[in-house]
Amino acid sequence: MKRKLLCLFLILTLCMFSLTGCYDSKGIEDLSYAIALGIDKGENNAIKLSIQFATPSASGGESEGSSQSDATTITSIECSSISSGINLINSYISKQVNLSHCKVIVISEELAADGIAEYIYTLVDNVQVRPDCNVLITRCDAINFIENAKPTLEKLTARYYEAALNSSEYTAYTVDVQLNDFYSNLKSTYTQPIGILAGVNTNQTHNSFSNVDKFNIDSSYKANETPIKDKTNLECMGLAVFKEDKLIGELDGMESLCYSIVTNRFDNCMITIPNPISPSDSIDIYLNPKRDTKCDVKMINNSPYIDVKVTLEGYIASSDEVSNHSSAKELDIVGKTANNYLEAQISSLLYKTSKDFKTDIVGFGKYVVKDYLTWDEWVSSNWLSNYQNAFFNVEVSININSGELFSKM
Amino acid sequence: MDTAKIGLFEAILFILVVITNKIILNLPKSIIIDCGSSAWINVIYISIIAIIFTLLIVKLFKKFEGYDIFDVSNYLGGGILKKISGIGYLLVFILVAALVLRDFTETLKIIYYSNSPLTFIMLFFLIGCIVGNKFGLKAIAKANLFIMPIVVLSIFIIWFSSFKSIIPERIFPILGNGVDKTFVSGISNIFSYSGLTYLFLIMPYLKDCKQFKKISIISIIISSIYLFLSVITLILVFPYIAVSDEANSIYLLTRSLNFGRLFQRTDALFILLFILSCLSYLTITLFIILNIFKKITNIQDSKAMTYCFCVLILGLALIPNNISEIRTINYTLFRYSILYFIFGFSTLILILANIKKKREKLK
Repeated sequence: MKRKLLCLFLILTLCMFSLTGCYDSKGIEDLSYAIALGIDKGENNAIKLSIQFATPSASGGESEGSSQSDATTITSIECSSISSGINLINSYISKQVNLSHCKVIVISEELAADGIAEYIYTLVDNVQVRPDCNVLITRCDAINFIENAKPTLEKLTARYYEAALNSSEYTAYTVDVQLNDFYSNLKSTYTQPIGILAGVNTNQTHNSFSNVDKFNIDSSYKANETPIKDKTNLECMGLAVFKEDKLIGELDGMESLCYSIVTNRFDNCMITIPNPISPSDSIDIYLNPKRDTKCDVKMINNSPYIDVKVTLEGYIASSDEVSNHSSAKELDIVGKTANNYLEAQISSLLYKTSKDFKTDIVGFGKYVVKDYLTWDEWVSSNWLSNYQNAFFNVEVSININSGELFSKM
Repeated sequence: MDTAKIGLFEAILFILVVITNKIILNLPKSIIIDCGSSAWINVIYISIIAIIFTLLIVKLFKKFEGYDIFDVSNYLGGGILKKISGIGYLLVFILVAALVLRDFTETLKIIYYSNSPLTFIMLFFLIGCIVGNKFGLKAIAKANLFIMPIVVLSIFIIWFSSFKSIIPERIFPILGNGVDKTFVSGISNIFSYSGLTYLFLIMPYLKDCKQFKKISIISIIISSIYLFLSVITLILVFPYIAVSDEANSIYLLTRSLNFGRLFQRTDALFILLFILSCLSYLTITLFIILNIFKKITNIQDSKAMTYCFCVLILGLALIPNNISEIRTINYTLFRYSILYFIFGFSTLILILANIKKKREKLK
């Protein structure tokens, strides 16, 4: 009897606790899910916060089976901080803002130049924000960027944001920079953060591009400069370079590609080089990594001397009537030209980061830290300041193969 | 009276539950704060000391088969010493239970239950502990036998899935915060092996006391590997300073895990397993508290005291104002109470009891 009473008591207690759990439960109908967060410099307050919300589909509509439709709505507010902005939006809209499905954090260049540590720390500390959401630095206003997110090949805007950056895997014209990468690099003593350079592509912005030479033209664009005609006019191309939390420069597509090669972050890409057989023409080479890039840093007279050895596999992608890419001699000539071309490009990028930007975005510091025994010794060496004195020796070795299906006889 | 006994595997998991929960509750972080990038060397160092210490305990218990530390105290100094050591252990375990309960519920509150009262979340754990203890040792051991392998496996999955984020150069500078922090003051990190406390108490619950040596050595070696892997993973995945800032490093690892596009945001699953692990740990701790109380008071049925101790634990858990106070208590009071009381006082009792036994034999 006593045991029965005890069991009954326990069952009732458990029921009591489990049922009371419903009183403040929150279902998806009570929440509004943000898919993008935009932060601009405010006019009357510190920031202008814009949130793009996914609009839930009407039941039984075309998009039945999905919790989202392609429709999104954007709410924008001038506020002193992200949290207070969200709070104000909460008081305005009918649902509570939830950031757990936020795919991108879009920050305007204007704000990034003033420093964004405060916003990054706030977002990293927010349990709802996923560490894998991307950090985009826009050449236009963040709100303008979000407003132009109208996918054509994707049905859902959230999926579009996710898929838009996948191209970095096969173009290397930008790098997949996530919030946790940005935060880690911000806190690091041997590397500095980067962001994805993004923009809205229009006819006006195309005109801002002034090119170099015809061989480099296709890879020298930055976000919003590519002369492309499409309904979707968002573009992610290049990288935003930071020194501590402040934006100090931009890298174009080719420089991002070189960055990806040096940091072992690329899968494959295409480069266009002058054709050594017919100098007026160009030749396209499809590259993929053969071995990881090896870096070595020596301190000479307290200045870093950095050796970078790149080993790649290349396939000739372009063809013409004259060239015979199955000939070993010709492949050798093309290989040497490609090596020289890429060595010049990588050296140019590294000197740009060292002498112009004075910021080690590649993270060469990690190759030096092993020479120090204790943390205090390492911190007092002040690697990030000393990086501006760095000198580079870049060696590229590309094993060129013919990519032709039909060989010349 | 509960006369159930536990086998080899159950006993090993009894000890492993401690280190598992310490890892979940951010023990690696405290070692990393102390030693910096040399934390992994410190773990190897303290692990060697812990293994030697375990071998010493096994040796000292050889002449006291089937005894726990209270029986040994009774043999050495009579009822008074038994009561002194009993009260000491009781206080340590109540403190442990309160700290673990508050620490874990605070973490849960931050992650999922920001709107729920802390007491409400704590009560869920305490009800689980009461129910577990009502069913006795066999049920607790079997439940732990079911939960722990899954939790251990899940933590291994977390480590191995973080492999892509690893940067090997992060183990440098090799001596981290210095030789002193790694090898001299760093020795206090041996408190990480507070699971060794169970070695002083577990003997009377074993089916076969001859397996005590095997249980002790296997559990300490697994605990060492476990702690080493957790510290090295955190050092290699997060930059040192970033780790020092985080509230719960293992949870952060789970947040960054993605198993392709199909399995994303798996942290909720891991949190569920961590809850089970914490529940199991608290149930075992409450079981030990009740048994210590029974030993020192000679009451017939200690189960009646379950509610009293739960209320006491709940009350104590509510005293700290915030999570930073709990962490301070953990790293100061708890660390030194384990060091001086468990590693110092208990070993001293064992050594003196062995000397007494030797003398009696000679007489």
